[in-house]
Amino acid sequence: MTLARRAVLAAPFIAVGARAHGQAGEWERVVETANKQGHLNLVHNLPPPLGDYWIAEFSKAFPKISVEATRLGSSELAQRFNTEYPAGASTADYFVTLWDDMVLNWSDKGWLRTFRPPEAAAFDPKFVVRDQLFVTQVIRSTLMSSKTKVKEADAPKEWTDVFDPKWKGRVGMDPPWRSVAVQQMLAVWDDLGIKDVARRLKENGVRFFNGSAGVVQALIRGDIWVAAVIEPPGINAIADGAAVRISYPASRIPAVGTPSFVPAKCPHPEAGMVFLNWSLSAAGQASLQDKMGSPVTRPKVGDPKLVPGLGGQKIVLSSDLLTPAKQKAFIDEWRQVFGLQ
Amino acid sequence: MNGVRSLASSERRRGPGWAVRAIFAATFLSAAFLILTPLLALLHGSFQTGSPGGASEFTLRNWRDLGSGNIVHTLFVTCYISVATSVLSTIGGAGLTWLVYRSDFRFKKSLVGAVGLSFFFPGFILAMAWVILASPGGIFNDLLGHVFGGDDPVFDIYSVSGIIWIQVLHIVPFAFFTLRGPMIAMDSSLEEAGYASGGNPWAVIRRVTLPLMIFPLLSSLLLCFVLSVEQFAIPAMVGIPGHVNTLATELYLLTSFSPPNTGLAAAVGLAMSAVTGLSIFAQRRVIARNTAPTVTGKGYRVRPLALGRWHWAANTICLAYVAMSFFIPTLALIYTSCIKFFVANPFDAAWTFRNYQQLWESPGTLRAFWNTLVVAGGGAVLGLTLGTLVAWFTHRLKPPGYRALDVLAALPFGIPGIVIGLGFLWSYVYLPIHGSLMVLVFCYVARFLPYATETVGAQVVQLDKALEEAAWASGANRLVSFRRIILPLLRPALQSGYFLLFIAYFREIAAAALIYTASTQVLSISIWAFFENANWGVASALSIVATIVTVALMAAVMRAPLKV
Repeated sequence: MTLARRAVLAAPFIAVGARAHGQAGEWERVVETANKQGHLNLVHNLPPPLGDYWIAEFSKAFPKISVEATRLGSSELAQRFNTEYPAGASTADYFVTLWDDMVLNWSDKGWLRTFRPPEAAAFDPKFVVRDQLFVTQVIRSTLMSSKTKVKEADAPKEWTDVFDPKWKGRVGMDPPWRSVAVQQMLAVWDDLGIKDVARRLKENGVRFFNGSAGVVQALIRGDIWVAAVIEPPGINAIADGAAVRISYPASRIPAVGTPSFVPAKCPHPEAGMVFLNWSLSAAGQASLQDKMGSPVTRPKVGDPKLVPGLGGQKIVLSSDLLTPAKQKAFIDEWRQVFGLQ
Repeated sequence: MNGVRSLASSERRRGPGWAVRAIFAATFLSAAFLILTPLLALLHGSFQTGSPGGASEFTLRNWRDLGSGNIVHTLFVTCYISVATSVLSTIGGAGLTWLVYRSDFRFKKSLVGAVGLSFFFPGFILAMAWVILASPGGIFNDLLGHVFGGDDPVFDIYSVSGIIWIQVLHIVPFAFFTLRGPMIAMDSSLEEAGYASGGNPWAVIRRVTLPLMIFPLLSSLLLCFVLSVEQFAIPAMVGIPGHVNTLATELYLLTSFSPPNTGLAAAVGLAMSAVTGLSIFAQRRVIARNTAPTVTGKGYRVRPLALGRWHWAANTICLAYVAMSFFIPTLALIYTSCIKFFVANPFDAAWTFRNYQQLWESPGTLRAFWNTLVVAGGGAVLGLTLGTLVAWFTHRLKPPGYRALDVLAALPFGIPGIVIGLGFLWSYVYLPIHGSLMVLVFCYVARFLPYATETVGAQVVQLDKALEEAAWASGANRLVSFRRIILPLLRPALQSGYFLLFIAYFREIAAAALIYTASTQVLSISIWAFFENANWGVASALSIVATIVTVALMAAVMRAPLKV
């Protein structure tokens, strides 16, 4: 083989290698800039104190970047971003929240930064949307019950069990006008043919509490005996030794992804990008699953410690069912039934 | 003295000097900017279809929607709760005032101290404690369930009566402190005459004390009504689980969650302001009509009414109030702060100090302490300064335009905190100070300006003008006489005003809930955020630590000699 022929054959490999080397160099420059920025404003909806513990792991890995975290409910987070970003008053460098079509709306408006973090290559393409939104975790809706008030045999196992009159006045949930995850759960119920939910739950004396964590606290206290709620605060309670149990209905399990993104305009974009890449890394993902309890999206991280993994469950992702029209219809119906404007 | 008066008159004729005019203009503009900007933002928002910053068009729909069934129902519920709360709070406050200042009740000092502590206790902390105590799974129901059996709860704090109960406990100290002054100042010789004419205690109370106190009672009733209408945290905590909505919680839900209806929220906010503003207007009219003799030159000393065998009842009622408004809630919070998760039986609890440890380790909490110190400690100085200037101009110097300043300064009394907060969010989001502590300080100064003007103004009107006139006659100008004569004499009012403002700034949630950021989080918001995230252990721990620190700080402030 002549030298010229060898050179021609090797050219593509050299080009790929050079590009990879160039990308690596580019990312090193991002990390360097982030370290120089030395600060990150992070807005999240992760349940405390677990969210803080996870963020602390990042601080160990990147000690030069101080993190200032604000925890807001997913709807409040959206409202603030909607008001502050167009006014040029948003100071957040990184967001993680629950999936809502509003995030695609922000993407359409050009509010989100487009980039591909190196760790994104390890993910299923459905979790990397437009190189702007990166889904890090899957949060499932579940049925929970109090171990002190409800025997194992009586515990609700399917979604329709929450309408059972034996739980009258003892069913709790986060209201759908507060939570995208609840809207997602209602979309799955609707798809399963469970109709007229608001009225039926009102008749069964459903109680609303502030956020999923508030529902679980009420369950622990005994204000309610059963609840339809997302899993993280329940997992946290179980880890503490609280007497609550989690059931995953066999019919279908609504799940909502947690997209992370860096705004197009923010004070410390590189710091935000570095946090995002870390959150997709094997270490960041393992830590996220360890602290929050719910399964993460990166392959080969393994199952969560206290609850089953996604394998063998009929998972329905929110983006598959919950359209903006359905979202509005649910909220309008629930507000009407429960006397809110 | 006549010479002094004529000199003073000529001084007045010359009108205020340029410095005084400049200070008046600065005071007027500051008050107008702080109070009118958020109101105008709300008014504008109420005629828009969308959120501020987004695409929006002019509409009247929001005002039309105020007449919808749900809003009218919510208005009715709010008024029902507020009327019940204000009537019961006024009765409670008047009862305690009467016991302390008209009877031989033995534990007067302790009762006044305990009522002061209850006054300090923020409403949302009280609500948290009562959820722990009287929710369906709370301590009281668990205890009763174990004694009498059965799973059905006897108490349910998540109800209209639960909201009224907590609000009454919270507002009684306010009624006590508003009625205390009139009760002390009331001419006791009339009651003495009643007893001398053979009247029994009940007849004297009914025929003498009550008629003399009718205007202060009405005034207190109306102020309690206003306080109740604007309550946000208590109905949010115990009303939402029981599907009880008030205007304040409705407004919060309309702005904070998807899909937002900011235009309607603005209209609801302005409607709330109209309700409370009318109440304040009525209260002002009541005060203006109060012509009953109170303070006279006669040196009667009231003879305390002997409670006799009713001592036990007075002791029980007072002890019960103090226990339920402060001590039992505090114990419930201490308990919750020392366990991992709630169980009603302390012997089954997983005890821990991790909640306090988490406070110590959290940079956010330490920053919240610092922010609170800046906002409540420093902001109260700013608020007091503005309030003192307003009081000085409106009650003493009365330059052209003072009536407008008076109305402006009284306006925030009728605007609920959450409404002012919404107005500040909309109007300050475009300013460079958005997201800074300054916004919180401005918001609090605007919201509680009447606290400062009323407290200081009450003392300004009692100061004899001759004191200032003597200073002028001696060659001092108005500024010097204000600094050297007025300020030292106002010292008690300034101290009380600072105390009031500090407490008000410290415990405020409603106004801050919509405008705080991570870097401007204050203690009240931290506690609220922990509660919102159902981190009850840390919320309770922070409540306890904040209470101890603030009571200690306030005790130091009230004991400190104030040099002015």
